[in-house]
Amino acid sequence: MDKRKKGILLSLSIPAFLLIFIFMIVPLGNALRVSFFKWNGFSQNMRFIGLENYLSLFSDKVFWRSTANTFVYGFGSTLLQNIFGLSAALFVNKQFKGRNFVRLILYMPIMISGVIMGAIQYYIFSYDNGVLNNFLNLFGIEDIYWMKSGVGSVLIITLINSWQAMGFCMLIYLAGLQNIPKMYQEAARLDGASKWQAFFKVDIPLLMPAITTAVITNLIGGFKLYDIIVTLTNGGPNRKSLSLSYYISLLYFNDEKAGYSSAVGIALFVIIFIVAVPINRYLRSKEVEF
Amino acid sequence: MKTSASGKTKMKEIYAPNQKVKAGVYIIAAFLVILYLLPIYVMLNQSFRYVTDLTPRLYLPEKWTLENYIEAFTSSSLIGSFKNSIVLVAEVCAVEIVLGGIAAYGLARAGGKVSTTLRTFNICIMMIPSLSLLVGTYSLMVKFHMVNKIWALALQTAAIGMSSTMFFYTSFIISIPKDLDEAAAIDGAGIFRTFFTIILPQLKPITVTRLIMIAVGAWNSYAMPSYLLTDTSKSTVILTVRKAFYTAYGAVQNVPLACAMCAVALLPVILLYILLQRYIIEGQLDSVSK
Amino acid sequence: MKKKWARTTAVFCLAVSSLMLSACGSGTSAETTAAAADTEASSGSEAAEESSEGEASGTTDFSGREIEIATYLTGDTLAAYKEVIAGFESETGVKVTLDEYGEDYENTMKIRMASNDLPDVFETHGWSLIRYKEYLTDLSGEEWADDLNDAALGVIQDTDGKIYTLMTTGSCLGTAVNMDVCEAAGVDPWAIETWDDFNEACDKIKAAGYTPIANYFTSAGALANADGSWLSYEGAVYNDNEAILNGTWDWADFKTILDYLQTWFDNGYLYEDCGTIGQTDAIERCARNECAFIVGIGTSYQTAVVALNPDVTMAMIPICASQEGGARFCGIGEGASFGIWKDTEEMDVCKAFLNYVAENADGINAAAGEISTLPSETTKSYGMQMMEEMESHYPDVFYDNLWDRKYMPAGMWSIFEVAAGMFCEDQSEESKQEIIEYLRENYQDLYAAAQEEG
Repeated sequence: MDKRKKGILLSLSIPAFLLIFIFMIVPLGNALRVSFFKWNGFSQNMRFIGLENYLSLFSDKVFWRSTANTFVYGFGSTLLQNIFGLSAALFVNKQFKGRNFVRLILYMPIMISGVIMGAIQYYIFSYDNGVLNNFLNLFGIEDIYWMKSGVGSVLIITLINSWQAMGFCMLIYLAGLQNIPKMYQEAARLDGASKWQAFFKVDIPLLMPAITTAVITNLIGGFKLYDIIVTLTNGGPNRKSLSLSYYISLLYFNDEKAGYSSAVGIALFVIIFIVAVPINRYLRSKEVEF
Repeated sequence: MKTSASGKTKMKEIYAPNQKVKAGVYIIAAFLVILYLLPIYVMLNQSFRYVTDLTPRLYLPEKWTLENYIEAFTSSSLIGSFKNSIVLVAEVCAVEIVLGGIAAYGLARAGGKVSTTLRTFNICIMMIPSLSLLVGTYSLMVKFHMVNKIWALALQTAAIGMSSTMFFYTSFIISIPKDLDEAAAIDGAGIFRTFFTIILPQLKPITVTRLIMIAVGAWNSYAMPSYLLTDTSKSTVILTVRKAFYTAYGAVQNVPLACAMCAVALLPVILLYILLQRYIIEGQLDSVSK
Repeated sequence: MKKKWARTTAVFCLAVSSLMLSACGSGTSAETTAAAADTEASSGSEAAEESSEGEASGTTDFSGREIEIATYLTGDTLAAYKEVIAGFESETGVKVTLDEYGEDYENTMKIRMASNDLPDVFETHGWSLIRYKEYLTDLSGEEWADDLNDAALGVIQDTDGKIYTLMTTGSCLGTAVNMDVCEAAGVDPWAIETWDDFNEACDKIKAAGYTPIANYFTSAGALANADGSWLSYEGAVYNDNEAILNGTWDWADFKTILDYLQTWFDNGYLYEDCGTIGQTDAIERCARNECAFIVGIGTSYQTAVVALNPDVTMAMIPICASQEGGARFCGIGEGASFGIWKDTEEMDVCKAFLNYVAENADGINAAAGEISTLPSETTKSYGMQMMEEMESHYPDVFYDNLWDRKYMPAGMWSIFEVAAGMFCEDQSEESKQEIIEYLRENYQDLYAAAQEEG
């Protein structure tokens, strides 16, 4: 390929990268600058305090808690979504009347915004007069305070997020299952493998590319989790179910600590980078295969 | 929707269920459908209540009313916000698909070190949660008067999603054999003609999938719109519904009205989902199995 | 139900002249008669004519002019406000753009302050002096300024006599009481004077099977609103006002408050889920007659409860005294209050608008259920009725601005909110120390920042 053509091809990506530059790189620079200041976000006064914001990160329990939560939301949702998605795919792959309808219903929550979903789920999981507790009362079970502890809230958020977004995984596994030539399965079965052995030894490896896509998408979604927390727990109790994304916006707009919020943002940026590097490596190797 | 007859019989051989299993399948199917429709039920159930109806949320309303729906249609700004949401979605889709698709073509075909570096960079960008740059983005957009402008939010949203779109397109285009391009080049086609005649027609399935994902994402986006579209006349559907769930200090929260607004907001989404299920679900299945 | 109010109040509104309204001047008699005739509209136009007397007659016709108004109001109050705006539009021909920010109001306003791009008219929600002053127009020369009663002036008047906001309603903050629950438990809330009495009453209510206190710890209210009863008022355990205001306060005394609040947890007065519920839940439970008290809340709470269940009898008592003979306190805060941006290009329109609001604020007040501050407000709101009832039982109630607004630097409210969450989770000694440390640190920071801002 001649140089000129290559140049033209590369230049095709300029508008896209320009947009990324304006809305991501410039803000990153700006955020980095703000993170060295003490600033309440609206005043004209900004005071340079060097690394103080970053140093406070170490003693900020809420920051560490939110970091841990972010990992739970990221990895936990990914794990659950794959488990749920795989189970649902196996189920929907069975022959029965209405399987397309079931598939349709299972995928539907993805279309619904996290904000709305969180708001409605609040009425299901709330302690007093929640639908779930109403239901349990029918069987004589006392009300359960689902979101009493931070751990409970984090788990419920993870669960709801996985429940909601599981349809994507389901479709990916379903596509895999329907595309795997049945002869592989049959061959394995003939060799005396049980149904499950055949599944794990034959289907799963063949599904690997699809699984990778699902994992990446889920991870990105989980690390960004924000909407559902806002309406479901609002970060509570005692700011224990915050994700870093939500903590950043609370610090900025609620606590009026824009400088510190910026520092937390940069920390999140770094954390994601550390997580992204191995994934990135894997993705690149995958691309070569194509 | 239907799998081919031969596929069906093949599957039957493997997963041939007996009657007992079949009953179990339907029980599970019913359970799943109930589990996935529960939030919709909770939402609808409450939307038909009077605000004074304090019966447990699991049970049907004491007295039914359409009052809330009438109010949702007439006195709220919900209907106007549909227009804003549609404009936002259209703009985001247009920018992201056009710029992302063209850029991906360049990156995929250019090859060489620059292209690889750019793609690596792109994958790193993809993982960054946009809120980590909240302070940076927000204060910049305020500075350049990009608050309360739907086009500015659309550009910002498109910029955040650009890297994913580029990633998916690049992977896809790489999988299209280069021979086709070269054949076209021999016929004297330039870069652009090659793109429009060879590449573009093949991009249809991935474009449909991406379009749906971008549209759903933009429609449901909450965090950035809530900060950038503060003017009520610019507010999107999700923002309007979110506001209905929130009450200023001391006001009575009208949960039934909020739920009715939720229902109105979700109706078009769910209708479109059911109408377009062929593209959404099958398209997703196709794009994965490529 | 609202109609019922209107009817009852129509009968009583003239007969009873409240303590708060007594500050009204003599020039209001024309309006009072007009209102008595139940002709709100005509009173409005009459008043408009009055106001135009001093100015050129053309001022009421602002056809083609546009102003932008921002509001945080929602629900019924917003509807009432919109009616006022519509009236103003049809009368003057001004086109009003209303930004309903709701929950995002404060954040949005902060941002707009930062970019010095504010709406022409906006609500000051309690911060006309502390936060918004430098962005507001001095309105002390306006006609309605003389009509504002002492309750309002006490809150919005600056030390130099300037007024930056038209306060149409005041929130009155005390302890909300569900009288039905109290009666069922055999408790006489009017006999409660000190926190000890309060706890005694709570014990009785708990024994009767109700939840005594519906306070929730997702808001700063539980931790901040009653603090003055220990720290600031006459006869309180401490009198730290001076130190609090000059930034030298060391917060050690705050432990008394935490120690007391701990009794709520230890004795099981609170809802088990008080750490995750919000105001809506408290209102709903109170409407179901499940709980008796909520400490440090505005009368709009009772209004909301009664809106959900008209059969509940609600009342208000002051915030208890920390010891025998101490002042029993009620906070008066800015309710629906409207200020004008100092750099607006439509100053005359804005001022005309505020005049119009001042003359037609009745509906807003009736919907808000708060106390009235202007002579044009003749509907006796539910909150006003409760306040009068309270005064008949406690003639010596002490009124002051809301504690955090008067004594704390701006920005402390959200700090208290975080602290409330911390305290709800853990009431151990270490946790208390941690909370006090957290409050102290932020107080010092914010105090310093407030000094810098001047």
